Amino acid sequence: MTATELTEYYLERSERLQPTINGYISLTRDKALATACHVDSLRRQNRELSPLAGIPMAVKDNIAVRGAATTCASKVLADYISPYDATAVEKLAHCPLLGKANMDEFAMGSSSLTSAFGPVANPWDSKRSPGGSSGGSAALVAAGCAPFSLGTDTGGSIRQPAAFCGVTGFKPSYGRVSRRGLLPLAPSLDQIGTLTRSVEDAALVLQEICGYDPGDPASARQDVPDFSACLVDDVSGLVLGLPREILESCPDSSTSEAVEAAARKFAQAGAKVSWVSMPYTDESLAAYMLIATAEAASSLARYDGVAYGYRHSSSTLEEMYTGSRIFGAEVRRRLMLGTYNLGPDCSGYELGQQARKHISRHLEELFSQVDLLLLPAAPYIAFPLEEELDPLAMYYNDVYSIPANLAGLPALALPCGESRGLPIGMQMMAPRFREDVLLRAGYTWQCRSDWHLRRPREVE
Amino acid sequence: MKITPEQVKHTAAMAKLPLADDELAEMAGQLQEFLDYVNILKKLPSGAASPPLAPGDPSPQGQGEACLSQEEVLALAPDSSQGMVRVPRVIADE
Amino acid sequence: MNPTIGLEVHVQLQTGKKLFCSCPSDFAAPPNTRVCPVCLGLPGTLPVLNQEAVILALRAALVLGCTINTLSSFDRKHYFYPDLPKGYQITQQRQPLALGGEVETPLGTVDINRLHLEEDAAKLVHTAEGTLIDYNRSGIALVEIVTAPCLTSPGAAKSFLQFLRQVLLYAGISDCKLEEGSLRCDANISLQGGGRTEIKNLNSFKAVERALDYEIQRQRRAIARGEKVRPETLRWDEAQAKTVPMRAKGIAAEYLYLPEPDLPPLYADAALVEKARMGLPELPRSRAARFVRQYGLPPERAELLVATREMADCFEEIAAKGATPLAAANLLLGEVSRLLNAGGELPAAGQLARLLALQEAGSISVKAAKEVLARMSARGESVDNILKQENFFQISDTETLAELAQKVIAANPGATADYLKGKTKALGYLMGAAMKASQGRANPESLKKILAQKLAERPKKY
Repeated sequence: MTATELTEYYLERSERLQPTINGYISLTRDKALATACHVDSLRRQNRELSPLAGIPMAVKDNIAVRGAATTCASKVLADYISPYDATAVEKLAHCPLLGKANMDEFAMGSSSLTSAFGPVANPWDSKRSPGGSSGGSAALVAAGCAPFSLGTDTGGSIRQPAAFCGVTGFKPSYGRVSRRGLLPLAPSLDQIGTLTRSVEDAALVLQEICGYDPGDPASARQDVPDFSACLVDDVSGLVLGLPREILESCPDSSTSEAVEAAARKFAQAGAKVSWVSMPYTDESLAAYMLIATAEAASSLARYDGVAYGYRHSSSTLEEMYTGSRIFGAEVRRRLMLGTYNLGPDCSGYELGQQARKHISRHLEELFSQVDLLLLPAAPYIAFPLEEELDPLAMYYNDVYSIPANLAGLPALALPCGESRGLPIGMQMMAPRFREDVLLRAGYTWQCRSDWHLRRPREVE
Repeated sequence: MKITPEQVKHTAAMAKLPLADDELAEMAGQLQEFLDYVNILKKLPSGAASPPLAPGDPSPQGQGEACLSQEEVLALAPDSSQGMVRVPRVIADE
Repeated sequence: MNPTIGLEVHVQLQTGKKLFCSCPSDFAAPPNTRVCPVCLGLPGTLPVLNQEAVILALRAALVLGCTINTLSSFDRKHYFYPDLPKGYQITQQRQPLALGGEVETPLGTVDINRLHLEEDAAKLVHTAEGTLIDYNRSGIALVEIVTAPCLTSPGAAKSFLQFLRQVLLYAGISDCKLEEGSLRCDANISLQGGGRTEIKNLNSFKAVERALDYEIQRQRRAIARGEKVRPETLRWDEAQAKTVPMRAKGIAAEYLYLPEPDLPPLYADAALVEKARMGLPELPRSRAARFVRQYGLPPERAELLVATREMADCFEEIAAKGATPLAAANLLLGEVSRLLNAGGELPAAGQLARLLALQEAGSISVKAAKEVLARMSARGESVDNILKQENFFQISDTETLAELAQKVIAANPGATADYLKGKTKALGYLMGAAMKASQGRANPESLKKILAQKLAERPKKY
């Protein structure tokens, strides 16, 4: 199949399912076909191309794409066209871009309900949320509209939607992927990652996008191993840690059962499984709230209607500012909290960073006893779109995923079960820069289970 | 730590967020809920939070972004005049 | 009541590029043509620290005697204003590049509190149709230098600024052009025990002095009336020659700070500091002292010569080519300086040395030399070229002059007779005739001698 034919197929499917799922904010048909055509011509010339060349993709709409709308699902950037490509997008220049994936506004959310362009529907049950904030990215892959997509993860925004949609979500170590072109939520926590059908596909995409970028001084000068070489069906000798407090208190029993069942399967495959202690769930969430909201308030300070983005016409500067910052309720809430945390009344940010250091050290210590941590990706399975979760309860969605962001560790979400027709996702965490362990364990899991092969029946 | 409506108003002004009077109470309540929640961190041992990033290495930089043309800059702006981006006249002295 | 004065100086670093991006930092470009996604603050952009700026900032710290922090870090200082594209400025608030220095100035020791790197804001133009924004200046590398409140008079403040400017120019750190905004200064002042006021909008060193003078008087009057001086920010109104309270908007009373998460801490290790130090030239004071020692120049001449690096460098080059140091100094400080002030160029050292040599050898007159110099300065021509064209070469050889003398004597019998009769003034007339005949090229001293000689040789016919 040529790249053009492949792209046509995915474009057609994407366009057809768009009214049902609303996974895209914008579709980029012409751009996709131009890339596909170019790749086909390179192939005819027998040029050497990466294994991903010609494979179409969707990119979350908080990642800059030159010449395309980059809206962060916000009215504030509804008409903003980026004049440059994010580094990760540059590295995938031979992947036809199907469109920009829908998300929670400015990546603040765990439901994709806060998008200014309408919520995303979970392909497994259109009345339920696909999770967030990379809900569109996950749903599109689950529904077969895109072979893979790029998402972003600040507190679980790749892993939780991956779990809700039954796809594989990979958050690399902090610094693995350049953040240049990633419209930030919280710079010390954000990472670009992948939503794919399998661990194998994740390895292929990660190979392209990982690597030090001088354009991102915080990116890590760490060699990128051959990720595909890590895909070995063998976990003998691997030590898996199961966090006792988390599994004992998980609100959704089908989730904790599925994770424990997975642990047993790993044990049968030759891994050693032991209980460990991860007592800082609430503290992690608290630290995250303090740090992420303060950094978000800073990140969004530039949306003032002056040089780009939405501007409210007025005769005074003050009215222009307040009238232009037309964020949704969730964003406003976090900006208020973040601004307060940066103020002199409350040394919230510092408190959060101190707690972060403590929690990260504790995790590092755990990894001296185990090679991997195995836990749920989220405390719930896909909740109904209509359900009104109060803000704090909504944040609780991220409670198992946040520690990996706080400590900058790589983490992988994999389908591991089903409950009432909805996917259950488990999560594996490894030490910093040890994506290889995750890939090995994840691949082994997918060789010996078929959860990742299931397709939602709601979308044909 | 009790958050007052004045503090909420002040915070909104600092963040240049429009906040109607009837929203004040609800926002104050939500902020209060969060602030109470994060109190649990005070129980953790404290100590200086060292910078999360390792010190930078003064090595030669990459290319950097290419300059935009004046047209490109103005095309992004909501309003412009005489080659410059335009906003309502600033009242304060310069 | 003695005033306590401190200065906060912002200096644009003379790097080719901006502090956090590769945009050129040149001054006179058309608006918004030196802008990239980073300095425009476009979504998703990241700052990348310009190493050249770090080196220049370290150099500034060295010449001001500051203690360099091996580890310094960056912070975001947040406020909303149209000249701030990101809604925050990247600066160094908590851990600046350098702390605590002291520097010897002609008027004594001045303590420096801190020195740090930060980015400049965009330029605003206020018009009737709105405020216009030019982002060319946004992101230009600045070094902020804060003195301790140790200056005790407006004159001292002005003197410090002049010294600072000279030293920064010398070290190639900044071109310090106040009129272009590459050096900006705010002053703060308090009288014993009173509140401290900050004065902004000082556009010249003279304005600094006048504004501080005014403010001292204003505060004294207030205290005399029994009022307390309120700490506030004022701007200097040049037209009205007074300080005026600045209205609250535009100067956020409260800034929010966040440690900059996009940039790792700056590690200024010994190797980097050494690299900065190596690029430092000999500074004015030491250079003047050396000129006195090495070239035997009078101290005042030496100090004047080192006022600018170009002049001092030129002097040494000329001296190296064998010219008499004092003659070279006098030439540079006299005629050359006059031409420079009138807008001319500094001629090449080699050419100036040649000119001096010709003058000393008597090959050209002082007057001719001045004209040659003027041509050199205006059009950059070489000495020999000009002399060839203008035939400025002075006639000094005895034979030619003797011939000339004879001719003139023969052609002016009346004057000759007068002279021989004892009217010595007639010699002047004959000199004039000879100079005219030689198109001014005759060496006057030699000519006079020879003419007198020839006249003396004439048989006395009476």
